[in-house]
Amino acid sequence: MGDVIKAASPPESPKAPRVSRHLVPLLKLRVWLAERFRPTELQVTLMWAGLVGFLAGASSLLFRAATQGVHYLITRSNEGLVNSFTAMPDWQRFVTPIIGGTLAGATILYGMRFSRGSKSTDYMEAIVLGEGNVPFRSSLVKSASALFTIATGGSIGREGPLVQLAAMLASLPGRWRHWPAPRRRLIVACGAAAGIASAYNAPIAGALFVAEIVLGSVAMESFGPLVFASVIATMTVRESPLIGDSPLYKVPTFRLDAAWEILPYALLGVAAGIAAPWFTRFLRFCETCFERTRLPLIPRLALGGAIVGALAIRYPEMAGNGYSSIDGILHDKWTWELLLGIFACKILATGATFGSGAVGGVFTPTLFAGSGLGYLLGCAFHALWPHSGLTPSAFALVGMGAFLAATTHAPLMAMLMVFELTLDYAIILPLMMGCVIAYYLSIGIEPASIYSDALKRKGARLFDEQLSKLHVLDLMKPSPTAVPMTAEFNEIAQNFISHRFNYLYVVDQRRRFLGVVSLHDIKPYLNDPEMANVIIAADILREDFPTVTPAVPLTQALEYFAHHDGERLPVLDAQDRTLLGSISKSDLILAIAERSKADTTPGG
Amino acid sequence: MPAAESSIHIAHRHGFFYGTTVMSSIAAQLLQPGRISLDIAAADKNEAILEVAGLLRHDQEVLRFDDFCKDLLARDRLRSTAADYGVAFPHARTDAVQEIVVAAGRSVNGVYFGDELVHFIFVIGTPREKAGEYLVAVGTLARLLRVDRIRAALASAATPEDFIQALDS
Repeated sequence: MGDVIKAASPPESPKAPRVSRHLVPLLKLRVWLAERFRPTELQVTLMWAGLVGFLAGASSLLFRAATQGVHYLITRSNEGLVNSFTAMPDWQRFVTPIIGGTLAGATILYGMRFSRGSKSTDYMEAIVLGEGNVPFRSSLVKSASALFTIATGGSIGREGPLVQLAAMLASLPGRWRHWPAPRRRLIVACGAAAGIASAYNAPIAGALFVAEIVLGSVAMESFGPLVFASVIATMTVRESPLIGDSPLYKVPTFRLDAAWEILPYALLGVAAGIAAPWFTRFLRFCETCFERTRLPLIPRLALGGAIVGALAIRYPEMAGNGYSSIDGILHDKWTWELLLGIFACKILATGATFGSGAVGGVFTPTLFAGSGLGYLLGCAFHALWPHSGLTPSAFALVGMGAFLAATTHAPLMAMLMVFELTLDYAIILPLMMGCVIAYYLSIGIEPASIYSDALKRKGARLFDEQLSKLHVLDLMKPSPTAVPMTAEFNEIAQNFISHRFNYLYVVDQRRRFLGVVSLHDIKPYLNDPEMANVIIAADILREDFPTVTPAVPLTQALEYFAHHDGERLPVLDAQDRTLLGSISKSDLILAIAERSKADTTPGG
Repeated sequence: MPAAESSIHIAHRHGFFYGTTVMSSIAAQLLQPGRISLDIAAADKNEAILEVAGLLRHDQEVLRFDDFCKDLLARDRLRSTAADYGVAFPHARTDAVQEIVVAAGRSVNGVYFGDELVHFIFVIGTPREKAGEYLVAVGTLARLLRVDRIRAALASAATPEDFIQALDS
């Protein structure tokens, strides 16, 4: 026996190690899950959308707290903007927005030195045009700049930086995980939706804002994650005592006494439809005026602040983004004469702040302009029919929606936004009427919405990128996980546990594609640790797996997927079959969803 | 062979839920008395593999015997084919066979496959495209050979028929 042992050949080939016992139940669970649930990339995107929603909500709370902090540091007041401005002496009302403008300008000027290059930070561009990347540092710089403008009474909405921050946070997982562009764009869109939802405590409007304005589609592939992110973001901010679960605006009860009373609201729709395009044009005009001054950034923003400050001396009620002013309107705090003054000054202040190049959103100022217009018209109707149910504050609500629908060209979002801001169902009929009329009138007057710059460029891009002109390369995710022919069962099992795919790619030493190992194939061996010791990737390799090359058009790739049950296809170099990447079915579906809506977008 | 094939198909379809009766039946059908050597002479691993494979030299399912042997050794070089319990499964997915073939050899003294002393060698060849059947065959034999009673019966088998009987018990 001893001789036999000595005579035996020396070890030539490596002996496979045992499959660790704890791996087997894990792998069984993995198979069980894979066979029953088969989570697609889209379903996983939904999970990420949830995380993005939470981050958006958290960043929103942080931003609000920071605004209050900065406001206190500059004004030494813990009150809201309107209250603290009202309590200030005239000189301070004038100086505070100038300080804010100077700090905001300095933040951009010096902050941008620390951010890389001059990449666009616009989340809309990132979603509709770019690769779904929102630069990290530039976004922080812009948000910090907005913080100063908003905290010092600038007439601009905080939803701008909130959405920017949320979109930036949302772009991080896509960049870390090297997602293809359509999925990165979708997750950034989720961030934007969550940002709006957390800014206004309005999850439906948040999702619809992005779907209607930015994506231009309510296809379920993209709408689902938007909704999910919005809901999580809203739940997160509602946990805060600052916000709670009450609607943003508490409104007096509203009623329609007679069917004819809807007619004045239709007239309000007409007024908003005509006025809104001029509001948009006015904002652009202000921007051009400031550009013509050729002032450097800091003095330009300080000048914007000075205009706001000068107006605030007479009407401190117009300070800030407009939230308090809207609240004042809805609760009949002001006479129509006073409101007319506040209204005119607020529009001017918005033009000055927006035109000077301050960072922020125009959403809340738009809401204010609409509510002011509605209220003033409501006063007129109330004077004509004092015994009817036509109350000026109800007109203010409908005016908000109608004006919003006409400036953003998103009537569905506008209706739901106002409904969510007030949670007053009775308002819905006049609101729908007003929004639709205003929208149809405004597109006749001004084809470009307030967000049109990004959308115009989107049209140009879509013209270039029809589906048939896109190739696998455009959606390819590089460097997929692969194992060598000699990979043991242990390694294969580990890969199936740590990744969600059902087919593991097998390559040679030069990374040329050889075939795949199917999760289904190794299933019978989960109970056989000894058996697994003699199985390597080469033994269970499937060589006849479909593959694509980078130059294959997406339309053709779609056909391959029609005959293939897997979630991914390997992308190989056409010459030497080197494994370059993989393309996923979900990304292809997202790309098609994006393109198909392009075909139905007017001018797209 | 057709009967064995059908059992394998059934086993493949049912995954790991097939019972020992099916396994025994598959194993018994895969093996024929002429493909069993109860006392192989080789003391070296490669020689032992070739000696057991030699039982299939004239098998009608083996198209090119030399290629088959080459593929068997090549596979073993990639990674040892020895399992635990003194059993080895030199195997190859190869174009050199047209149907699944199995041959078995018993070494009384044992042969070292690396550091594993092996007493039972099951050489398996499958057509390249039949990966599923191949897995069933290897899996089935591995499961049976894990049972002490079956290994003891194989060790004491006096004839190839007894050997098959031991697997089918």
